[in-house]
This record gives sequence, structure tokens and C-alpha cells, in this order.
Amino acid sequence: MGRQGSAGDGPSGVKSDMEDGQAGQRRAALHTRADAWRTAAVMTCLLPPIGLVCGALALIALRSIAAKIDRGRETDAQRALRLGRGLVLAGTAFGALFALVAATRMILFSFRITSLQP
Amino acid sequence: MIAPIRPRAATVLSVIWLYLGPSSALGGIAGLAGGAAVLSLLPDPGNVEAPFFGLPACFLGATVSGVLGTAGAWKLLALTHRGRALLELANWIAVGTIALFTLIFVLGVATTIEPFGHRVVRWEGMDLALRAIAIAAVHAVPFLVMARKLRAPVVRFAVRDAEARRERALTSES
Repeated sequence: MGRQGSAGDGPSGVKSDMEDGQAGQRRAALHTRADAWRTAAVMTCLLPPIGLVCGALALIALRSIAAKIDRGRETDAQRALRLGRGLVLAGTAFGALFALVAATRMILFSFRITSLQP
Repeated sequence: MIAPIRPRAATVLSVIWLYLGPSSALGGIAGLAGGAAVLSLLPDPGNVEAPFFGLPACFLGATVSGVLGTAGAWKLLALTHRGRALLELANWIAVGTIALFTLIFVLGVATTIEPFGHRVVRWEGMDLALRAIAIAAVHAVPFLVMARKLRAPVVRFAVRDAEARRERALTSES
């Protein structure tokens, strides 16, 4: 994902304004990432076999991230985001593997029962 | 490196489809393979009744909507117009697939074919058909809501602004 422009695009000419704008932009980007990973955590909850555990833990980790960003504790927010992301990715990886195995078994079973026919 | 600022709706819909898309495509492919295996069981596949092919069409719909949804979600995360359009199309295909599946099911349980070939209503199966229609409506609503959200001004304007910024950045670079 590339940078889509910064708050300093306009001809403001004042450095502190640009810095404030960039900090605001950074905080907004952090909010966007938190939204994305929170949604991913909810979707992970639906994935067997360990998605519910990983998703729930990720949701707990991401619980107060918006408040942390708004209070200016960006380092804490980033740490929570990293933890939530790791849990979501672990749950998703297991879920994907489980789904792949289930689909392969279903296809193999379909072809095996047809080959049993006279 | 600062990530693009997306509207919340675009982010949430993209992530939902990044999960839903691959599972829908995988389920559709498995269903198509299973359908092919069942079709090979039939003694005379050329003489199969037309509604039978509706089921593989449903699996095909799930596969296509899954693939388009995944691609669209990936592109919408980068705020491109193509991503928004693809994701909207995937949602409509999902709605169409649900409607087709329901139609096949309702035809199967609420109608019967007379000896002269006419299809007539079977009132005994009507309660099951109505229940199937209600379940299908509940399943289709999230996709309709998602398609509608993708048309919301906040998403369209964000995509338009992002495209304009990218174009401006390209022009200033050259």
C-alpha cells in the first residue's frame, strides 16, 4: 500500500502546520489499520479449528486501540496492533489449511465413490 | 510509508471479502468437482433434466463471485475504482447465485411434473418453499447491504480522490 498524499500537499508554508498534518495523517492511517485488523479478527472468529480463540484474543488485544491513538500513545497502539495482527494471521493460516484439507478430502471422496460404482 | 486513508466502510468490506472470497471460490470449485463426479455416475448424462444443471451453475456463481470478490477487495484496499466496481459485481453475483439456488429448490419441492410434461404446483411442499425463500432472503441481505454501501458517496468520493491524487503524483513526477 503506497502513500496516497500527505496533509502537507497544500501551499501552507508553515512547518508546524505540516508536522501537525502529518501526525494527523499518521494517526488516521493507524485508525484505518485498526479497523482492518478488527474486522479481520471478527472474520477469524468464524474459522475452524482455532479461529474463535485467536479471533477473540485478537479482539481483546485490539479493544482499546482507538482510545490509545486518540490519547497520543501511538507506540502502545502499534504494539497492540502487532499482537492482534499476529493472532489474526495465525488463526487465518490454520483456518485456510483446514479449509484446503476439507475441500481436497471432499473432492477425493466424490471421485472415490464414483469409481466404486459398477 | 503512510498507508492510504480509506473510509471505514471500504476497509471493512474489503477485509470481509478477503475472507469470504477465497472460501467461496474454494467451496465452489469443490462443488463443481463433486458435481462432475455425480454427473459421471448417471447412466445417460445427455438426458438429465434441465434444473439439474442449475446446481453446477450455483457452484460456478460461487466460484466467480469468490474470485472477483477477492481481486476487488485487494484492489479496493489500494482505493482503486476497479476494485470498487469488481467488489460490487461480486456482491450482485452472490445475490444472483442465492436467488438461483432458491429457485431450483422451490421448483423441486413445490412443483411436480405431470405425466403429460406440465409442471404443476404441489401445495404440500409450499411451506418448505416459503421457508427456503425466507432463509434465502436473510442470506442475500448482507450482500445487498454491501453492494449498497459500495455505492455510498463516502466510498465513491474517497476512490475518486485517491485516483486523482495518484494521477497528480504521476504528472508531477514526469
